[in-house]
Amino acid sequence: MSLMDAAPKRSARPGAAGRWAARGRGAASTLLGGLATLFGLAILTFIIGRTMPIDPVLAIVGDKATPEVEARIREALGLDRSLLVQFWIYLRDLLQGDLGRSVMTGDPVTQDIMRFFPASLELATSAMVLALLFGIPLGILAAAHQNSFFDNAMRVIGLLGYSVPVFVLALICLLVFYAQLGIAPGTGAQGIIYQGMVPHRTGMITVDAALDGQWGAFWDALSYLAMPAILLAFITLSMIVRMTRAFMLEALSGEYIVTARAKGLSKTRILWRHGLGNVAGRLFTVLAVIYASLLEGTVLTETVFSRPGLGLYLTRSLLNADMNAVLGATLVIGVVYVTLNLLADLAQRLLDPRAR
Amino acid sequence: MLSRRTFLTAAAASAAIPSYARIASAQTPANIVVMAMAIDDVVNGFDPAEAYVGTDYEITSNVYRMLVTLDPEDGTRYIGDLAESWEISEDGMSILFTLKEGVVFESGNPVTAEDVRWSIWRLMALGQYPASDFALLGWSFDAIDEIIEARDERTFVIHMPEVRAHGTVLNTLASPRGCVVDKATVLEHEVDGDHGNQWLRTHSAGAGSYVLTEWLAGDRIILDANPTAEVQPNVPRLLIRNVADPATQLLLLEQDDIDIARNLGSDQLPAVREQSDLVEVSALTTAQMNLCMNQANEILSNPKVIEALKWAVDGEAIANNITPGIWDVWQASFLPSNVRGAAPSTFYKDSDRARALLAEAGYPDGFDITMDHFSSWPWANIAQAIQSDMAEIGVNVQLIAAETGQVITKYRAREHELVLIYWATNLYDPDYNARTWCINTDDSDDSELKTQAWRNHFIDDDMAARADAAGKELDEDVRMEMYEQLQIDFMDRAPVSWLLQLRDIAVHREETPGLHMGGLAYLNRFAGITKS
Repeated sequence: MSLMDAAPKRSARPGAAGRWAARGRGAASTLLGGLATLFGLAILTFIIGRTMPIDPVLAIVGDKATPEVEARIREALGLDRSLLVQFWIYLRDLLQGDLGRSVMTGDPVTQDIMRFFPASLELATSAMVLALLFGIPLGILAAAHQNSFFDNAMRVIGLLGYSVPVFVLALICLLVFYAQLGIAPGTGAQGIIYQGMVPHRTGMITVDAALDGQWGAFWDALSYLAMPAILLAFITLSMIVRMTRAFMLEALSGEYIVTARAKGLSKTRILWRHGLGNVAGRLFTVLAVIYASLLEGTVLTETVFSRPGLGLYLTRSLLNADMNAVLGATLVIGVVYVTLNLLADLAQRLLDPRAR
Repeated sequence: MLSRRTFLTAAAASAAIPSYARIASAQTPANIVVMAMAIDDVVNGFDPAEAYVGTDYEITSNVYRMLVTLDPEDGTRYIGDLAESWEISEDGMSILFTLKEGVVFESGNPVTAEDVRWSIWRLMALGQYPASDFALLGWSFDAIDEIIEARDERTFVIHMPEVRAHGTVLNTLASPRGCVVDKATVLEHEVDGDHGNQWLRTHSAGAGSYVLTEWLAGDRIILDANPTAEVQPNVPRLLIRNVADPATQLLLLEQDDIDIARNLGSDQLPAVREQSDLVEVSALTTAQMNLCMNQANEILSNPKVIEALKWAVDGEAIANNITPGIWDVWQASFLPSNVRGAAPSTFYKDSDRARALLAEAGYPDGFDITMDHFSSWPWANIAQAIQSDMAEIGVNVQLIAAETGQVITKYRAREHELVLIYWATNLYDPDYNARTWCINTDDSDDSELKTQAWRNHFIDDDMAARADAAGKELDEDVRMEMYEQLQIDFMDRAPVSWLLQLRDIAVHREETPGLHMGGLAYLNRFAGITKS
């Protein structure tokens, strides 16, 4: 028996149809996993909302209504029924695309989300783009010059970013750039003269103004967006620099980097192609989580800069036991997390052959 | 060395800064008054048949008119608003209002007695919180057609179902419950028998100085001058921006980006008082902070303990050190200082007397007790001050901080021991407060009258009967004497320690005067604001 005969036979590669079927099964499994996550989220939020010690009727009729009025409202909200029946009704309406009506705004929750979510998307995306532009290069450079003055400076900046409360930084920014230097506008999303002038298309004022060709309104909205976006970018940048540096340090100690150096590749090529190329997959996963948290977790920034977004909407609804709004906003956030995780997963598979 | 690329980047950036600064230095336009205010409390918009929070009241009372209103110069006197005059029948059981001629709604429709009747009928039909105030007068929706009558175009009559002091009825009509809506316009927007409720949440149909142009929940409210109004605003547009953070409000005010700030706190007011171009105006509200003692607790049901706790707290120190200029000391009875017939502030800190009372009660070494309070400022700070005062007489108070809704829910369920909370009457007439604090005729959990007395298991049949009698006394002088004695007895016997009274404060730029602060939110008026 020859050595060739002894070698295990390479299994036959599946045909195109087989590959598509496998991909289809994978996609269906991922989709089902995402739906199961959302269903679990809906159950969990519903139970927390219904068992928290705040009476939802308080938000609608206040503290001084007669018991008769309270009973009528309780019945209208379906709160006099069992939890199971309430949840079944909620799910049935949800499957029909009806998230119910918010008691705080009086509007359908879908309409509220269509208004508040774009505001968060605009702010979070601007911050994320800025943070990525600066964070990844700075993280790579910090790793490349480990323990240098630059690396230490990055650590101090990082420490400032994730240790000082965001509302403190927000107020300092307003005090310095708005009140003292006068080079930034105050709070809000638009100057008074432009309010109500930009037609609602996407809900993101800068985008809507650009789409409508209203460049005055565009620059105005951009100027209001700049400070909160830069502030959030700074906070996010701190995390990105830290993660990029850590991943890169691990990658740069790999044998393939030593090999690359031995082969005489340039430092730039080693860092950006072989170093970053190997950590990109993991970095995408972290960035997806950071981006999702920016979309829902910027309550304090939204408060100080008076830019109502989804995070503020959710917090306010929760404190008033406005459960339709809480459940609707939570589901949207859940969809955002699931989608971004799927995209990160996909990106990792594309960028990292080991994950395929 | 500076590279060419760095130089070009720096040059481009420095060119951009002045243009950014130009955008940044915008001031408020001359034809718009910009007011910063925390307007997150608005629930469901501005239908007067549904509205119940401060911002709602402030908007609706500037958009709608009532039959009568409280005299801005003397908050205890009623003057006609839509009503030219009113007459009370000899038996005191009916009031006949004659409407002014020539008053029109923003639609141009004339204001008629039928609009007045339908506005109240609609409020009762919708049955939201505002209907509760009429229920306290003994009115019900089932009997409403017998109670209110539009006799002709200008004559509206109330036939009272039971004897009530006229002040209580007039005060209810002078509150946002009495807002008169344009029946024809509202009915044009009725959907599925909702009496126009959904439409009226974001639109207006009144005869007041303003029309509601826009409400974006959590963002802004825009009011424009009503061209048909009798009293025209000096500035045609009022923009209310939601700025929840007081520090941000002050910054915006100092930079001239807003004209009026409405929610400045103790941290900001000292800075305001040092600036000559900022002017502070304020009025006492009817909101009172109090310490309620649940009578289901055996220790707290001891009259000597109740009295001891009232003498233990230093309200003056709290007012001076924690809430200067915002909460005034008011350690009296169930009426706030600005309500007619209020008893004077009586209690002060007297630890020796409190300790002696505790000893008489059988607790010479004090006792342990819990106190619920809101976690926000100034409640948490005041709770700590009370804890410290109580420790001086041997009472060990364990603080339980929670969100507002959580504390109120627990209080309503009567699960508290001590609770630091507030009470704000919507009405200047003493009847409302006297009833809720003195009457508890059914202390069971299923009671149909869950008053403040009920919430603390406080039962005093004598005081309950006298509070009810005072509300039905038609002779005003006799009635006021009844309330005077009732307040004194309440101070002696009731398990409530009143501490402070809230001041509503606004700060405006020197060139934007004229905001009238009425104490109650629905007495604040915007039309007089001018801008130079």
